[in-house]
Amino acid sequence: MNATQGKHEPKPFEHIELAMGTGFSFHGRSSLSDSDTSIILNQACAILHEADLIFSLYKPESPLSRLARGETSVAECPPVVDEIWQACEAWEKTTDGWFSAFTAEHTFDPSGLVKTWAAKRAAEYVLEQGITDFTFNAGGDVMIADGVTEAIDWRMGISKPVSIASDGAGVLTVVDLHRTPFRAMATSGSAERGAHIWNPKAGGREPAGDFIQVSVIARDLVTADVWATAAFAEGARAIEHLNRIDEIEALFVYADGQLAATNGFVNLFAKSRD
Amino acid sequence: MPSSNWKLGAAVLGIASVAGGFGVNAILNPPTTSSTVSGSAVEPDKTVTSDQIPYEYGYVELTVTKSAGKLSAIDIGGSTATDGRQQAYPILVEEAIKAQGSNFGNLGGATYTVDAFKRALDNAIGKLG
Repeated sequence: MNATQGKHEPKPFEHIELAMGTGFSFHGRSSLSDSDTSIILNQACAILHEADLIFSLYKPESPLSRLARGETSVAECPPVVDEIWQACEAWEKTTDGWFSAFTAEHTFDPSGLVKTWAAKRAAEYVLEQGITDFTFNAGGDVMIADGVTEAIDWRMGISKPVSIASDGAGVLTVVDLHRTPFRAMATSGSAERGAHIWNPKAGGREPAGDFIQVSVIARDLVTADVWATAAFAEGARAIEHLNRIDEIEALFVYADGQLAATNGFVNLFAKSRD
Repeated sequence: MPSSNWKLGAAVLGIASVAGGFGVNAILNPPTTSSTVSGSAVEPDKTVTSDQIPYEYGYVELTVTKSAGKLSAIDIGGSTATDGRQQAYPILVEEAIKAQGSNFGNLGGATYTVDAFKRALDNAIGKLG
């Protein structure tokens, strides 16, 4: 027993959760008891599962599936649906239409936003409960809490633009966000799930083709995710576009493997090997 | 459960570091560019701009800032590229390759499916023996 306060020496923890069809992992150090830490992480993951129940278009009875079939209205859905709807509309404006949650069939598909939105919520819950030294990997999109104490946790690898399950899997490069304003990285690409990002501005909505992978670094996970999706859809012109957006850096991989980046990205490459 | 999760975490890192290898190396054959960075006096907070160094797709022009004798910022904004390949600069590739060897806490990438995630774990666990 650590005397009176229920506070312990920081102890490492790792929590892996399968949700929304992908893997989520919390990793960090907690001064709370093992059981408290575990309860908090499970609660955080409950946020992910709840979002999945509401927003999944794979589950025919989810509020969003019913909305897509015209069986219900946004007003009748849980309030969070309206919140996401508003957020998607705002992001569509912010990205000049390159991020769009409205499909070619004019139905609402916010899947591109829901995962990182829920992940951000889950991480905020963990922070509120007093665990501040952790990173959170949401199926390949990564955020770093302000209180991270280990140098290695400030560094994130970026996968090569091939599936993590393939023989050619590996690290394209490594970035270090210590002493930067950035806390999150999201990657859009065709390596894992094939071509699933469509050009919202093209008549037939043919797939965007210039890049096979775009990684965006931003202050928060949702911002990084939205811009990664938007840039992937926009193609080569996104490089100049993202250069004009404050507090965003991005690394682009062209279909032939060549690299490009926003002006400040070069300062984010990791230098330490420790 | 927590202890086995630890191993899985380590395994994910395992995949990342084991694979290494091809990819960026094949992308460009960069002429030397970083030599223009050095050579200025050891004064704090000095910003200099390099000559324009031609390469495959245009030229590279770097503006570098030195603070307390250390390189603190590199701006590749003055560079150009033809062929629509904006900012695909050798410096970028060079730095990306150098950074490849750093250890890291998380591997980011395009959203993987549960299936890919599990197969990657199996693969890594296999490599750990």
